[in-house]
Amino acid sequence: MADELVLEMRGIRKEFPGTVANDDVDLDVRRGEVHALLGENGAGKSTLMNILYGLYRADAGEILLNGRRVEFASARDAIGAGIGMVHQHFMLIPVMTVAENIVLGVEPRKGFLLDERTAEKRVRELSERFSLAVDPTALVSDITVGQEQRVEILKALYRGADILILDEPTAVLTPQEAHELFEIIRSLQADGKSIIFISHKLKEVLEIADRITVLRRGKKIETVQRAGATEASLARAMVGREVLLRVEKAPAQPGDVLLSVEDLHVHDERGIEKVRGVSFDVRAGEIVGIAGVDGNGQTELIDAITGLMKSEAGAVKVAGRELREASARKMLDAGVGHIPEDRQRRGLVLEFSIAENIALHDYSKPPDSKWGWLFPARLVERAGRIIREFDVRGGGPLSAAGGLSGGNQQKVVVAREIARDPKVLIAAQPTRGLDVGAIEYLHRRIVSERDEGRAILLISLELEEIMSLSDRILVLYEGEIVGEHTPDVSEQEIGLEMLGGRERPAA
Amino acid sequence: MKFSRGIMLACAVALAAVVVTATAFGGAKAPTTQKASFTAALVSDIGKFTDKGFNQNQLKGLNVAKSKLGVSTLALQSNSTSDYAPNFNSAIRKGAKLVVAAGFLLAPTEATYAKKFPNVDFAITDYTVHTSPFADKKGNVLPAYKNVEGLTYMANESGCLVGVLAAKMAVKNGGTAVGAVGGLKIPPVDIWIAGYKYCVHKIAPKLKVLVQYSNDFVATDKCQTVAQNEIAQGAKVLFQVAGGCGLGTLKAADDANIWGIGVDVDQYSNAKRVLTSGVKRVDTGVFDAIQQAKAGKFQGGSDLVFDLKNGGMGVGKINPSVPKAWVALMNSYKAKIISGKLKVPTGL
Amino acid sequence: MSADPTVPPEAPEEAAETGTLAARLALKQRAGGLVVPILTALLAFVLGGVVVLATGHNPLLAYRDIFNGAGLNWIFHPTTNIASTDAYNLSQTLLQTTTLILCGLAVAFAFRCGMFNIGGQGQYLVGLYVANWLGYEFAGMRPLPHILLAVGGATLAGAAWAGIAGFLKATVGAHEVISTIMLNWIAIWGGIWLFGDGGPLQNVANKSVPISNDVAASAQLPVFWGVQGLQGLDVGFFVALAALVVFALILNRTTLGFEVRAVGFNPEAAAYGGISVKKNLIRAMAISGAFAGLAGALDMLGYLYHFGTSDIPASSVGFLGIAVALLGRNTAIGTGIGALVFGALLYGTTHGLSSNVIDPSLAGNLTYMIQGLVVLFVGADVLILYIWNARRKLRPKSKSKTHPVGASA
Repeated sequence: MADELVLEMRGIRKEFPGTVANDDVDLDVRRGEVHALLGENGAGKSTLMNILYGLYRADAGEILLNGRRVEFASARDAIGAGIGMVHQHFMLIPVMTVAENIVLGVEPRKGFLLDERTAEKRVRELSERFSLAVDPTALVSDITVGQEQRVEILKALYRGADILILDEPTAVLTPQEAHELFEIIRSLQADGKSIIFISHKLKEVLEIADRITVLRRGKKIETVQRAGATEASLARAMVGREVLLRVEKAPAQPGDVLLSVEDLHVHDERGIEKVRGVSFDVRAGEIVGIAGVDGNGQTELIDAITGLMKSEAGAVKVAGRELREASARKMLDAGVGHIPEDRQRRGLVLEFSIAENIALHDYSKPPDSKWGWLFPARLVERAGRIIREFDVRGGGPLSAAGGLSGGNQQKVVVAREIARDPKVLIAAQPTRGLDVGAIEYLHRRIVSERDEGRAILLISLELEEIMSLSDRILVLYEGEIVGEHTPDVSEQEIGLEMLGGRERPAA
Repeated sequence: MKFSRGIMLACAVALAAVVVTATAFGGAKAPTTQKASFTAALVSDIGKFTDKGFNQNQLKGLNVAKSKLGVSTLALQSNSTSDYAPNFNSAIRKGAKLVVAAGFLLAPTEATYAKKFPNVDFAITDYTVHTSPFADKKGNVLPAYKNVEGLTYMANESGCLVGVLAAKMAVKNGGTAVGAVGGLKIPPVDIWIAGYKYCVHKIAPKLKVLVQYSNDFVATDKCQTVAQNEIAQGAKVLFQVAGGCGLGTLKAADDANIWGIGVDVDQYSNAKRVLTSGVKRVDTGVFDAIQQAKAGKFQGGSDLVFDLKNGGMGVGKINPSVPKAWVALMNSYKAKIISGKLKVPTGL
Repeated sequence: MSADPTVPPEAPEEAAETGTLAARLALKQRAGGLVVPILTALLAFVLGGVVVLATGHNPLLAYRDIFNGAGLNWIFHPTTNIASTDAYNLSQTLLQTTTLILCGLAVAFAFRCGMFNIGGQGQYLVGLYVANWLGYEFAGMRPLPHILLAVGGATLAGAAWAGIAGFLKATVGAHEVISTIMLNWIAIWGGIWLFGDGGPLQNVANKSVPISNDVAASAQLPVFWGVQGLQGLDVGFFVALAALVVFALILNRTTLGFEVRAVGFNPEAAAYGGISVKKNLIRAMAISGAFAGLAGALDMLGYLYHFGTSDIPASSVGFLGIAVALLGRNTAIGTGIGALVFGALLYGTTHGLSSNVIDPSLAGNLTYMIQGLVVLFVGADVLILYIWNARRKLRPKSKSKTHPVGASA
């Protein structure tokens, strides 16, 4: 019976010092349902699920499982009650096999020893039943990220989960892998399992969910049926205002070549060749997007162009001038702006103030300093202007960058790079981990910078982002450019190339 | 704000502590000078009074003076080089009539104070006044230092006596070598080793005498390492000449089941296999200096020499496993030295 | 997209996981503020008191003796007359403070660049040797140039000594903790050879003792409180105070300091910002070493004038500098206060625990016990912070009682 409620959470409230993470939240899940939990970062989705999974204790409210009131003191209790959770970060032991990982803690035994054969048999049965293809005898260190996720799901199923919580499961997957995951979810659903699907991506929620509950700032906004919901309506509920989802842009009007990469070869720290003879141009006023699955040389390509890594061979020209023995300093001075892929690890010194972060490239030049003497007041004054101009919220010039939300941290990075008036702007995963509102802002900003006449190189693992922003698309596979397209190319075609499914076209 | 309450709390606690201390301490009187007629002070070197040897033994002499002579005493320990001057200052400030410096490290500081305070008597253990900074190049004591007395020890004589036993023991155990582990290569150390080596060769000319230095008087592990090195080279008896550090030498001897010889004080009970100890009565020196000064017979500008004859040098408890005949042999050497028939060298 | 109030409180802590040691420490400092160092010191003193009690003495009296011994009771009846015991003791405490400030800065500066300089002791000793050599060798110069020469040379020597460790880290990645410890030993044994029997810097007057020459009068720092030659308080004290100001200025008001802090917090972001990480590692270590070398110079020219081989391994101010910097949270003001606390403790325990009340050998050990406890608790900051944070985490539970369910619906 499809309408049978398996889980009800009523009036859940959870406070952390200075913030209310969940405020009187209700959630009910039916048997065999995929129920999406949608919300921006920090909306309280994870907190709610951690309460359900026994990791946090609610300050108020109750949880009913199959109509009976339950209280979980730990994850062990929740697992015992048939709740499974697959976290964003997998918790697998790489040196053990898939089967060993799955049965860990609840092993079938022969005396004191692990009964390997029984374990493998049971895992195989489970994986066939839910069409979760994975080799039980493979070592976890040898399998792909998508397979690791399947192992996590199997782990939960092995422990008898009827309700499966998936925390942003597609964040780490390629489009193909995501597609396969949805197949798996459907087969679980057919078997009567209930799935709680946490996400902030509207498209996939509309694709997979039966019902959608939207959280905003710790409060439940609404629960809607998929039928009738649109991206726009969901975005409005999530953000609390109208959101422009499509990137609106005029056709590009490319000018001079500002960035030129010629036959670039780059090795990583271990000496493995990661970029193998890449050549391309980026012109003023155009956005060139580089699509590719993570780990195909994107990081090394960016680092070589920005002077953070030495290249083995090849040339990088900025506005026609070749930069030999480039350093980060030289590249910055030549007019290359860089929004790095990891804003917390590289883009910002989190302990520094916003003012200091904004001065990170130019602290050694007037007006920031003279003869080595720094003028903090000028840093603060400039930061104040930029904070206003770029609408950075959550702190003033003297607040630590680490205290800002992800979106505002990214704004600081973007503001710093754009304020330097660069000829070339390299944007690596500029919207990673950001929510709809912030993404909207950044996309618009990137387009407007293009229109200012900058040459923009966009690198992203989100194919959708590449497709919607780029004027030209390059596909990077195993360190080589395997395809060049106009943005009207189909997602399938690029997806295939990203996985190496097509030979490199003859040049 | 979240933290401000915590900060205020901590500040309040700190403030309360300050107020309490202030009231408790403010009323305290500065220490008054000693009432007794004569005050003697002893300033340790950085070996400190806990070195189970040189400094501690002098402290013993000071304490004996306190009980036997009825003088007031001040024992001032130097934990670091910067404590030397304040300790002299404190001794004089507290009315000491005699300040004894425990070793050569204190010589420059003692010289400075002796010059500034001509009415106070100063003595220094193990250091002759006939050298810099107290004397000119010819060894004549400078007029400014007529209030300084050197307390010197003929440690070569005791070194000879323990060398006799060491040689006999090594030969009996079929060894080819005996060893000495010095602290630093300085005269007060080498004088021991000179006597030891001389008499080892008197008994057994073929025995090798290994001499190495730990460059430390405090850290036992350093002496232990040097000692193990000598044991590896075949030493059957080890003479430690490194104060507290030398306890490591005795331990190494224990561990290797060979024999150790203590120094300065009777170290028979400091390890299991102690053959005997070369005893330098620095306690007697301190005591004698105080006794003289109290009686008004202080001999400033000269040295008080301590040797076997006047009992300032000797040997400690002899291990029962040493045959009586060896002890007799040793005593015959002692008699010869006292009578002047045997001259033991003082330097290596 | 305003600053979302529902960002869980764990967020900043997670961010810190990715940072360097310095970054994590900086975060803890912000979390604990002033409270933790004060609690640290108080707890150490309380436990020190228990130790005193266990030896059968009154801890309050012992602490009063330490307080007075350090001359801190001088504030109740201030006088500049050095004949006053309090004034003399205070002058000696400040003399210790001088050295500790500089040795503390030597640790703090490297720390701000993400490095742990354990080598302050070696850098201090090298400064000591060079100051002694220049102070003796160039006798007869006019005082001011002679002092500047000796101080400058010793400071540069300390910088070079530490710079070796920075260079090794920047070029071959040798960890600075290992290399500075090894450089300490080289400095110790080098000094024993220099001043030892037959060594090149052994004093010429009495070849039988392993002590250096005396610094010439022209290189001796003027004493402004006390008696010249009798370890009075010399002008080095003001140099140390100035060094605190210089330290703060370099870090906060120069591009050099900006680079040092950026590298210390997040070397990857610094490199991204166009800062040469390697250059800064070497430079920060050298500046650290300069502070320690300066400490050696001021001690040698200010009151020691000579040094014996046995004094070398017994010296430990460089190591105390680590405790000073940690207690002072690697800031200028903190280091100044930390140096005063440790200076008073060092001098007060040695000279305040009266030999008539407590056996001097026991008093000496009490000195080390109390010092050790402070160092231990400074190191146990993490524990205190943990308790401090746990207290914060416990709070929401009790708070929720005041917000009945449904009140906010």
